[in-house]
Amino acid sequence: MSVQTETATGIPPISSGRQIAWERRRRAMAKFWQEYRKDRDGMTGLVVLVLMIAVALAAPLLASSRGLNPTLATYPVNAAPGWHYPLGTDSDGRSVLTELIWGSRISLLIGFAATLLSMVIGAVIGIVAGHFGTLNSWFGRQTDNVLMRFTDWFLVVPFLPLAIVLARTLGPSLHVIIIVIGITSWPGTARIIRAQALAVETRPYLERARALGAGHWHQMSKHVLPNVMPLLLANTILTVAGTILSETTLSFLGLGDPTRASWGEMLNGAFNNGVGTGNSLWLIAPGVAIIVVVMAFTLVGHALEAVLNPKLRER
Amino acid sequence: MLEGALAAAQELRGEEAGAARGGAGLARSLTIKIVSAIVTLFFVLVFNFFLFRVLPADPARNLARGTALTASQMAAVNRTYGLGLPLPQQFWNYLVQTLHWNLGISFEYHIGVSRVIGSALWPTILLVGSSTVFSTIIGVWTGIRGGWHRGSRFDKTSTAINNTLYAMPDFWLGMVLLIVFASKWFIFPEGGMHSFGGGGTGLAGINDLLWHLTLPCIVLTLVYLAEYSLVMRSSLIDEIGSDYLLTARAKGLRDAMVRRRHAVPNALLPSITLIMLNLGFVISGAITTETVFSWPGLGLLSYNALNFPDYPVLEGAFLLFSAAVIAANLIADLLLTVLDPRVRQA
Amino acid sequence: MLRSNSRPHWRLAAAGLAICAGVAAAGPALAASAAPVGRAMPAATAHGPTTFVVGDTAAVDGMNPYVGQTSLDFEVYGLIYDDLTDYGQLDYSAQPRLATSWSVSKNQLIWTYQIRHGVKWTDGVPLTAADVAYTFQRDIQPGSVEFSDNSAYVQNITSVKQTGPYTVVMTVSKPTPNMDKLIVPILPKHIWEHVSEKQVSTFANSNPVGSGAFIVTKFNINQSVELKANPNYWGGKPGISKLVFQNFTNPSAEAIALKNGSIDFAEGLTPALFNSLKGVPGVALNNAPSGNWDELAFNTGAQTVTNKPIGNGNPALRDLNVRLAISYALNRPQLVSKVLGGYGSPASTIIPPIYPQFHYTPPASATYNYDPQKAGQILTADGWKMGPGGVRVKNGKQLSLRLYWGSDSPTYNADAPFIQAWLSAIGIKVAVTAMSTSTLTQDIGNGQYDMFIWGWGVEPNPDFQLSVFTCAQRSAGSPPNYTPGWSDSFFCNKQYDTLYLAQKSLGGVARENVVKQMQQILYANEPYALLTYDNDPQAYRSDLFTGFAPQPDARNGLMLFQEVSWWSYRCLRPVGTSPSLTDHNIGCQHEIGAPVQTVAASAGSSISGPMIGGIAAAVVILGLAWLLLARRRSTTTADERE
Repeated sequence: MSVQTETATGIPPISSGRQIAWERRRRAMAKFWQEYRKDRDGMTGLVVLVLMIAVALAAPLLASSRGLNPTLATYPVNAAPGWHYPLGTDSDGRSVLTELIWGSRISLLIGFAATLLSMVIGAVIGIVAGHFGTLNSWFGRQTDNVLMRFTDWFLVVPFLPLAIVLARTLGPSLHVIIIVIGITSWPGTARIIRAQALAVETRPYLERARALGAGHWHQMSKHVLPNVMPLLLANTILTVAGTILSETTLSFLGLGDPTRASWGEMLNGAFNNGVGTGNSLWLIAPGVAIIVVVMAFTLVGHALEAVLNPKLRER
Repeated sequence: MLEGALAAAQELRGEEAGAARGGAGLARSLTIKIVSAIVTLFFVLVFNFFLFRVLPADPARNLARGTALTASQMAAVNRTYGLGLPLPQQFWNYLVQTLHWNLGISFEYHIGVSRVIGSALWPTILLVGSSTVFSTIIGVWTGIRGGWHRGSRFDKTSTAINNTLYAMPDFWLGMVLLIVFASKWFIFPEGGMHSFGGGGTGLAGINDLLWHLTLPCIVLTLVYLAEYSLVMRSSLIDEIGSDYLLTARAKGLRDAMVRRRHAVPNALLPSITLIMLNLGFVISGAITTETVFSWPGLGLLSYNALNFPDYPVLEGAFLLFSAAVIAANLIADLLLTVLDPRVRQA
Repeated sequence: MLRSNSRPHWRLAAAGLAICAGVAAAGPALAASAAPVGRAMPAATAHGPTTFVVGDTAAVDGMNPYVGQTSLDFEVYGLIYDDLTDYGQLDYSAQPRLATSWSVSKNQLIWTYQIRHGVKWTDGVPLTAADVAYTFQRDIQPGSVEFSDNSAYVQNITSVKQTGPYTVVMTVSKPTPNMDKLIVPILPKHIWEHVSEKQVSTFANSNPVGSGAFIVTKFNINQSVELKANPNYWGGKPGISKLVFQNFTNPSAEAIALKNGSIDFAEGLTPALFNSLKGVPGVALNNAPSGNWDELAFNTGAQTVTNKPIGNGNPALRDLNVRLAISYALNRPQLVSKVLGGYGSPASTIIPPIYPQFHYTPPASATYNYDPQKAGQILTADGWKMGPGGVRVKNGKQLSLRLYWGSDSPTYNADAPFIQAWLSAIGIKVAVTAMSTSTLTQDIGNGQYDMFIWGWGVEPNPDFQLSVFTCAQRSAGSPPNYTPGWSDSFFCNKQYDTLYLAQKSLGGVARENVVKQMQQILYANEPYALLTYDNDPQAYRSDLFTGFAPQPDARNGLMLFQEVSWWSYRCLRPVGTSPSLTDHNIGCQHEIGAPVQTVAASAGSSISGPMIGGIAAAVVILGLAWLLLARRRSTTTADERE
């Protein structure tokens, strides 16, 4: 229990260790936000991203989900834009705009979920490899070696063929796509995190922690991870961009879940049923949406990196 | 992907310098690299084998469905496809045969897999090769120009275009081009590699081939040049801040000289690394472009094989893709070892 | 210090690029304005007026008739090889082909065929009865790949003998009326006697020697098959000199290609693409019924041929009332209009209406019309009461079924949500799962399914389609993976099996009646709830080619990809030429299209496509080179730049 007393100089009294840490973090975040705001591209990306996520979350308010049900579609098929369907209709007679809005949910969901999976795997492997790699033991170096060989090998296996084989075998469904993309995207993250972990490991406070008898788990989770986190975050944002594109590709090739209208599925449908008909927006709209979202993620990711790594800020 | 590749490239440089400073000779590090590539290839072979043995495959059932073939008769058919033997023996046969470039017999085409893959190899090489040449030249050039004149109108425009291209699904771009240039206006063909019914021989044949190659090549070029341009620009900007360039400029050297003789060659290293790393992937990544334009390459072959499913062909194609990436990585590694002056001096 | 260093250079570069782009764009613009929509290709790149190019989304696997599996394979085999007989263009009756006449003994067990004289193989060797005898002897070897490939036709043949240079005698174990319609390609003995039984399933047959109207000249895997007319074809030289089957990965490119004149015939178009071709000058659309239909199949109680229960099918589907209720709940006309775009009709029984002599039309009172109320009543009367969440319950179990289909078919993808919606409207919970067809085949073979959507294509001889529902076609073998037969509903009915054996030995009206009776049994038991009879929307360049011989109906028949027939290919010819009638081209008398027309000049511009491409490419390359190599001395230093 701490005693709060105003001192003569007006400096806030010392409180518990946890409060110090939080105060430090709060100030760091405020400074971070100040720096981030200066990046015009980053702000644009952030605004777009927030908007997109808002649209995805508010989908039921913006367009009735009944509009997705092909059995209830009553509009003319492949129609040019009209009052009830501002972006025209698809070959089932559903409004393209409704599909676009609801499709954002699927695409963003897959993007985030697959990235989360990839980030977790990549971070774990990267941190473990980086941490053990700096130990002066044969065991440590071998762990690092084996993990990196494994990563290298995974990097070598080409993404698309592997994803196609897995998706074909496991069946076209939402969670399969998430798993497939997740387990094929982690190597890039692992390499970056390992490089960063290596750099962190040489810092003095880690030596001090070791001298004080901190175990491996404590070192990795309490010291390495928090310092790697910002870079991990930036890398995650950039990875989401990639996973959204991957999902689009897999759906286009017919490996996505045909019962869920993601943007990739829309493109698949437009390609097979929309070319040369009255509504080219069915093809154009999802493509533009993908470009906008992926660009937004990329801009935010680059801005994050720039703020975290001053050297990059010059770009 | 872009960031990962950039980090990987810089890491490689760091490792190279470190290894060199450690006293290891050039020859030794080269040998290590080649051996490690072979080891990776072996792991890929093993993975390949088990991946496709785990999947259900029974060509005899397809052929014999509905008729009263006995189990032993079906086994006999399966044996021609290399199945039905005990697993270790299958694995041994697989290794030996692969070394002899005998990749088994296709379930769908009933001829050797190497023949099937061979027929699809040239179209892919042509498409990937031509688009890589163009994307490299244009990408590196715009990257250099943008990076050197950072903040200029050229830089801003080029970065904006590159970011947009990078965010674009490649098959979408392909579809749009197909609709505009093959359907709305018949300027380029709707697909395939030759005009149907024969495009002619000699010069006319080559002309016909180029005509068919144009759209798919444009799509692949645009998709990859964005990445190369952005990376070249980043690494050039990194270089610009270096001390030795400051010295050169302080000495009064002309801009173009500084750029051409000093900055660019050093900034090129990560770009070359990235291009080589990518090359391995482009071969398999061209699947979607080949699908849109019905270009009969390896990507399309594997996609069709997947639908059948024709496991021997898939296995063979997979192996080829992985081998391409390993080879590209090795070449990138070797190039870096040879070109990086820090390594050479050690 | 202000010094605009790079800007003049930048402007120059931009100007250069603009000029290049302008030239590159101007060229095509010229060509485009000269060529109208629905145009013929510019002369320099056209594939020649006597070359007929067919576009399809299916591909050819290979030239070995014993192992081909795709529809396009069989289309090609019928062009390069001959069978003994043909299915008549208008009525599917037996027509002479390699056999000029045939007769059967009084006891119905001995068939004698007279083989056509003067036929030569494409390598010049004369075709005799020895080749026919050899082919059939090979095909009846039990346990061989050849036998399993042709079993539908050769099952009853016990011996084959050549009794003269042009006479073959075959003996059957029991009366087999369709011995006059054996769809078995006759192969040259002098080629195939060198292919052993072990080699046959991997024999490439890359340069097939046949007796048919066309000869394969080139086979590009995954791309195309090129054939040329057989100048020595016994039926007369075909009207086209070259025939090409071109594989497309997607039907959209096909539709575009047809408009541009790159292909002359488009097969496998989706309804939307078919509609997009309406009104294009020079393109004719043909919406004809085919022998294909789609069904919703049920697991009626999976058992092996030894009556051992397998799998995990929902026992509710063993109850006929449940299956009937489901059938009443399906709005087939809506499937036709929404999924097929109107190109089809609601389906009932397994032999489709294009075979009117075999098709059974159930009486109106017994037809399963769309009646969700009736469906609900049947279920309620059966003990399935409406429960919580709108799902019916009986004895504590919910009526919840799985629905599978092959994800690579857009039709089934589109059918599924409709079926799910209609069934949930009557209180059946449906869990939908798309999967690969190989997984689906395996699941079906192991009995691990409830319902699935798939389809069949029925030949003029109904024997095979009827056999699918016999007890003997259920799975065999042992776990974990049973060997599937053709039965995918595990229907097993003694009376049905008896009738099946009976129709094998009957002919004429007697057989038709038995076949109709069998369909009646199936319709009453609904192992399948048939969904739609599919049309095959085909589009072709009627301004360039004529002489199509539609089957079975001149008004509403298939142009190409006919059911086991190849009439059009032999009668096809460019517009403006006259038909070459021979004793075999009987079908050509029923061709459609104007027989003689003034030749329409192809409206191509003098600037051809490839030329444009070449010029544009050269311009772009030159522009790049100029930009890269032009030596511009920049006199600025870092000072001045700042």
